[in-house]
Parts: sequence; structure tokens; C-alpha cells
Amino acid sequence: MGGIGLNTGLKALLAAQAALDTTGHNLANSSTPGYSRQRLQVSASRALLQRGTLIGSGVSADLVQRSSDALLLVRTTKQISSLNRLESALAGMTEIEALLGEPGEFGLSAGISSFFGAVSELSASTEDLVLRSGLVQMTTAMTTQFNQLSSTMSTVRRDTSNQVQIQTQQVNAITEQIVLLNREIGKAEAGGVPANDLRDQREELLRELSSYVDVQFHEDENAVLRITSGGRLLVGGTRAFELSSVTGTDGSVEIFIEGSDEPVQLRHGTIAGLAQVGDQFIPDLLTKMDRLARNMIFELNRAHSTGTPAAGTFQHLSSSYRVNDLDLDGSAEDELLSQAGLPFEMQAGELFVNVTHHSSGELRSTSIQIDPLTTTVGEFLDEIDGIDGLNAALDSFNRVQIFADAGFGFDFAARLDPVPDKHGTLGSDHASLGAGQQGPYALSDGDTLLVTGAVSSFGVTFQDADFEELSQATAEELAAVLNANPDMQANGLRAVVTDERLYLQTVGTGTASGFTVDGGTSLGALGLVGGTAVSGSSTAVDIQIGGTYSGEVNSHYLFVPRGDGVVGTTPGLEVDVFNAGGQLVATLDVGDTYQPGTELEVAEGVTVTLGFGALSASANDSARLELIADSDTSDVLAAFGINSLFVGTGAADIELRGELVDDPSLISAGVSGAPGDNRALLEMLDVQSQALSDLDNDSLSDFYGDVVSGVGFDISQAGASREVGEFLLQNLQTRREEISGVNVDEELVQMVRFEQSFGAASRYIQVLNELSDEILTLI
Amino acid sequence: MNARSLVNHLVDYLRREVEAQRAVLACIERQEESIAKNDPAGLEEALEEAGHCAAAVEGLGKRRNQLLAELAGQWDLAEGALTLGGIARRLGTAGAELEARRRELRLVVAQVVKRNRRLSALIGMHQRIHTDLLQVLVGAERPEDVESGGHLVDAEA
Repeated sequence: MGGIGLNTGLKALLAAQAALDTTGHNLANSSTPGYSRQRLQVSASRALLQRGTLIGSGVSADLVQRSSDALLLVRTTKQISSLNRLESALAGMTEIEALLGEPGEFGLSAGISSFFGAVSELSASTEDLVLRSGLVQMTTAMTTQFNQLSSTMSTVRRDTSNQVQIQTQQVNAITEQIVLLNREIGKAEAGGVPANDLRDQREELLRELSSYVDVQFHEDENAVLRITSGGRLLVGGTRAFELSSVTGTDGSVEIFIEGSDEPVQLRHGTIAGLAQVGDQFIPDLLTKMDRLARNMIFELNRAHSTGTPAAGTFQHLSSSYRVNDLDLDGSAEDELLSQAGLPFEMQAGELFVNVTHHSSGELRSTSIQIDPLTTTVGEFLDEIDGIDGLNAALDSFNRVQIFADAGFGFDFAARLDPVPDKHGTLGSDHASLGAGQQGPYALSDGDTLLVTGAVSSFGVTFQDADFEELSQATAEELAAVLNANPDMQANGLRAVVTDERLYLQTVGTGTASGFTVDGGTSLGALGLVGGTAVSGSSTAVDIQIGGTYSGEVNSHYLFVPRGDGVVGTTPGLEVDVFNAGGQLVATLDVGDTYQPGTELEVAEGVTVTLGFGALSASANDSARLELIADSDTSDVLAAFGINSLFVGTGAADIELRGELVDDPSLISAGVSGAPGDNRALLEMLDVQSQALSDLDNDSLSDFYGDVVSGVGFDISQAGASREVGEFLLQNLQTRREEISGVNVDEELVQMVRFEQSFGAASRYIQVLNELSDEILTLI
Repeated sequence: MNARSLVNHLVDYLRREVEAQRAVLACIERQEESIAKNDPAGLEEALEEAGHCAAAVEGLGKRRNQLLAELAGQWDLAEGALTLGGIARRLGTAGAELEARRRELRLVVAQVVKRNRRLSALIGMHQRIHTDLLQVLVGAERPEDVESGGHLVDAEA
């Protein structure tokens, strides 16, 4: 009996000691991260059979239990992963937002505004060299901002990639520790004793792991925690599978888990957040910055390329971009313009090339038809090279080089030809007779034209072989056949074309010159009448064009006299002006009330003066004036970067062209080289507010504004999500604290309550002792 | 009341006393268990119950003293000269029931005394550990200090 009593008392003491140890352990770990409150689980010891009676043997401490909620752990790790992705992404995005520096005086939008401000200032005083230098400085400042933004964003992207690599190593360190703990827990619990503190450590590591990657986990029957991430095993029964990152040549980062060649798709955790910034956010932003820079380069180059420098014309121009020999046959000239590897696209259209003879001031404008799908680089160069006074070729770097002959200058400006009647088909001093209508002419093989000239009468026969399609003979083909005829040459005659109409003319001038169209089978098709004789004049009508064409599309005017007469002399003499659509746009009164040489308004900003001389409607007189709104509708100049403002193709390499930096007078301000001409600059200014289809119909400024506000919106959205995530995680952590946390106050209060009870119990023990003594005395 | 009747009452008392002492024993066990489980609320409940038990034992003691005094008067003995064992022996075979109850009571009371001593040792040990632990944790010299909280200090001092 005494033995049982002692044993029972010892068990009670040991159980009480264990309870106190547990309380002390809780208090000591109250600040330990991840610690779960522990409680001693006690039960009545098994009763002992003594002399046929079951006698209780007191209390025993069974095990110390953790207060833990497995479901809460799952929810917490998920929330940690989610929140860390947001925080990681947000940190990267905020860094980029700070780089943009918008709105602010050092931001790119301020740089773009300053650039256009400098263009605007120069447009008010195009000759001012200080303002030209100012434009160079502002342009350089803006392009430097583009370059730095692009470079810094690329650096941040690389840093992001490095961070991913570092974090994968941290993940590997954590998973290795979890594997070790798996083993230790397995060993410790093999004896049936819960490894509370080791489990706490493992759960804490799991929470830390979930901050890097999204984790799914479950514990098997051997207490091994198996962890998967992105559907791949990260921690198995006996080992961890290493996480690694590979940065591609394009800067993208792929994450791999040992044992698989397929990259793992992480959706949460800081690594996923870094990947979001490095693989989506920054590349998207860089793409948008590149789009902005590309459009700025292209549109401003378009405006600049057709302008003229302060000197008026160019002696030499080199393309900024080089042609690529994509078919690798050793020559780049056979490449189609559309497949020449140029950074910007061109389209079917025409390019006007103006060549000015410096001493005479004569300007010749030549239109080159370009179809990038059919025109080769060589053909394009040949067209330019074929213009009198110009040479064009590819240099050894496959850049286009255009040179003017000595005494000539060239440009690509949308000029009005001041002397449009180059052939003298309107009031010429040559004997001149135009066909009754414009070509093409419906001729037949063997048709003839009989003419009597100053020397002889002769006939010209038209044959199929000389025409592409004789029944649709063009005025140019007819003129070529006629000019090749020896009798034409012998008689001092020539054929010219104005507005697709064939003209026969004497080469000589004056009243003594002349010829007669005698007949032939082609007369009907040409609209000529047999027996028509024409003679030259002592005075040619001097037609001079002025003003600036204000139309928006390329067109032409055709000047046609309404009757025969002398300018400023014949009463009622008028000249009709038709546009390209054949509509009458003006009728000029050049009769006896007109003072020859007086400027007359035509339309759309164009003026004309006619000098003294005879006009003849019966000889089908006409003169055509080209109206050029866009002298390069093909964009071939911008595609090659000929007379470009910028070089480069995107935000990383946009720069002001070096020649302009060295010599600001080369900046194309106008389109005529005349002092004060600012039309090229005005066209550049228009780019600022122009809706560009490549920029989603936004202007440059609006597009960049959208980019900046897009960044702000992304950050705001991520920030809002983070707030929600933080709130949810805080709730989960509070819940965990309720379940697993150690409340020091609670533990202390419990101890104090015991203290009070101990006093009461002592008094009770005293009373019982007295009562028992009294009874024992009576027994 | 004659002597026979008084003895019957005495046997009834003994039955109730044994029950009361067993209740005391259970109460002591509950206190031990609460301490071992680190369950202050359980200890408080056990103590409250112990108070009722002690009151019951005290009440029974008055009843016992009254019966013994009356029986001593019947047998012309001095009050306080009677013991339960003496009464049983005096009654002979008629005192067999009384003797059985007396033995039963002696066993129970002996257990109570023993468990009471053990509880006393247990509480003494806990008190010391608690006091030490509290002092380490909150710097209190005595548990009461923890309850009373801090001391007001003269701000100018």
C-alpha cells in the first residue's frame, strides 16, 4: 500500500514538473518565429490490482502536444506566396516608375516637349544658328533620355534575372533543410513522441519557402513532408530537387526543377513576381518605348528628309541605314526594296528629286516611281543616277551615296516648279502643235503621219515592234519613235509630251520656223487635221509660278488657253486651269486688261504670272504644273534614312544624325532653302499632335502618356491587390496566433492563479489534518 | 434514547463519515490532478469542492461528539473517555457492525492523512517553482507583486 502511495505521489510530481516545464518552454519561445504553443496531455495512470481490488495509481504525463492547424498552414502558405509575388512585382514596377520620373521636369515627356519647343522656336527664325544649336542640344538631350531609359530598364531586367538566380539558391538551401528535418522528425517520432519543435522549424521553413515559390505539400505516414511547386516535386521522401534559372539570350528567365527539361511555371512567390517584372512588365514597357522611338524616328525623318538645309540644296547625302545582301549572292543591289533588310517599311509611291543648276537657277524635278515589291535597290539607284547632274551608288558598307555633279545641287523637297513649261507647249516661240487629245492613242500597225518640214516632206510609219501595245500607244512611245526618225531630225523637228499629250515642235524658234501636218492614217487617232500649218513666234510667253501649294495630296494643274490671242492684247483672252480630276479650278483673264507679268491667283496658294506672247488653243497649247504635297509618298527616304533627322531604330539607339550635330546648318528647316522658309519644321511640329496608326492612333505625347499612366495603373492595381493580400495574411496570422501562439500574459495569469490556489489548498490541508487527527484520536 | 439506539446512530454516523472521508480523498486527488495538468481552473473548482467536504466533515464531527457524550452519560462514564474501539469491545458481538465501520473509517482516514501530506509536499514544491519562475519572468519577489502590478514612483524623485 505504501509503495503504491509513493509511486502515485512521484507520478503526480513528475506530471506537475512536466506541466511546469511546458509552461516555461512556452514562455521562453514566446518570441520564437513559428513556435507553436505546447500543452501537456495527462491522463489517469492505469489502476493496479492489489488483493482483489483495483487501486488507482495517480496521474501520468502522456505527451506534449502542439497547438497547430494543418488547414490554416495550407491557407497561410498560399497567401504568403501570393502576397510575395505581388510585393516582389510591385517593388520592380515601382523602381521602373521612379526611372520614368513622370510627371517631372526630368522625365521623357518633358524632354519630348522641349524638343518640339526647340523645333517651334527655330521655325520662327530658321536662320538663327543659336536656335539651330539649341535644337541640336534639345534633340540630343531627348535621345539620351530614350537611351538611358532603355539601358536602365535593361539593367533592371538583368538585375531581376540575377535576383531570380540568387533566390533559387535560397530555395535550394531551404529545401535541403526541410529534407534534414524530415529525417529528424521521422526518427524522433518513430518512438511515438511528437517532435514538436522540429515540426515548428519545418513549418517555419515551409512558410519561408512559400515566400519564394508557390508550394503544395502533404505529409506522408512517415512524417515526411513532400512538397511540389508548379506541379513538380521539390522535396521528396529522401531528397530535395534543385531549382535553377536560365537566362535566355533575349533576357527572359526560365525556371527549372532538377529532373525535368521543361521549365516550370511558377505562379506565386517572389520568384514569380520577379519573373513578372523581368519577363512581362519590362519587356512590354521596352517594346512600347521602342514603338514610341521608332515612330518618332520614322515620322520626323519623313518630315526632315524632304526638307532643304540652310544652303538650299545638298551636294552629297548618305543613307543612315544600310542595305543587306539577304540572298547572300555578293550583291545587295539585286534585293527588292521590300526585302533589303531596311529597318523601316516603304510603300508604293513616288519620289520627287529636284536638281538645281546653281549658276542658272534652273530647277528640274524628276518623279521616280517606286514599288518596294518590284523595284530593286539597283533600279532605285539607277533612277537617281539617271537624273542629269546626279550620281548614286552603294558604298562598301552598302549605304546609299548620292552626289551632285559640280555646279548642281539636289533635294527632295515638295517644291513648285517656278518654270513649269519646260517644253514650250504653252505660248512657245517654237512652232508647236499638240495632238487633239491626251494619249493613249488607238493606232494600228503601219499607220503613218505625213509632215512637211523646213527641208522636206516625209512620213513616219508606226509599227507594232516599237510599242508595247500599239492600239494603246502612249504619248511617250510616239514621241520616242518620232524623235528617232532621221527625217524629223533633218527637218529640225522634235516631239515632246506634256500631260500625256503629244506635241510636234520645231527645234528652232521665231517666226521663220514652222511645219505642216500633211496627213497620214494616224491623224484620226491623234486628233490632228491634215493640212494644219504652224509657225513659231518671235516672243515666248514667260509663265512663272509662285506661292506655296496648300493642298494635301499630290496633284497637278493644267493651263489651257480658251482661244488664240496675245497675252495683254487680245480682248477676252482667257486661260483655264484644270486640276488632276479635270475640274476647272480657275479661269485667268489675260486679255487686253491684263498687265503681262502681273501675278494672278490660281488656287490652293498657287500664283502665276504670264508674260507677253501668243497663246493658241487651236494648236492645243497647254502647260502642266506639278503640285506636290508630299514629295516622297513611298517613304523611301525615311526607310533608307536619307537626309534623316535621327539615326537608330528604337529607344536604345535613337540619336540625332551625326552630321547635324557637327553642322546644325544642315538641319532641314524649309523646303526651298529660301530664308525664312520653315515648312519642313512645321511638318515636323505636326508630328507632335498627329494621330499615328502605329501608336494605336495616338500622338507621340499621348502614347507616352498612356505608357506612363499604364505603369501607374499596373502599380495601383498591384498595390490594391497587395493590400487585400496583406489583410488576408494578417487575418490568417492572427488566427494562427490564436491557435498556436504563446500568450505570455495568459501563461503568467495561469501561474498566478495557481499561486492563489496553492495558498487556499495549504489552508485546506491544515484543516483536513486537524479533522483527521481528531477522528484518529477517537478511532 | 437508550444505549442501543445510540449505538445504531453511531453506526449510521460512521457510514456517513466514511463517505465524507472518501469524498475528501477524491477531492485531494482532483487537486493533485489539476496541478499535474497545469489546470488552475480545475484546481480552483477542486478547492471549492474541498471546502464543502471539510464543512461536511466538521458537521459530522459535531454529531459524533454529541452521540458519544450521550452514550457516556448512559454508561456513567466521563465524557471523552469513550473511543469507537472501546464502544465496540463493550458491545461484544452486538458491536460487530460498529467495529467493521470503525476499521473502514480508520483505513480511509489514514489514506486521507497520507494523501494530504503528499498534496502538501506537491503544493510546497510548486509554490517554490512558481515563485522562482515568476521572479525570473517578471522580477516579482512574491506572487502578490505580480497581482498588484507596479508601484507609483514620484515623478520628481
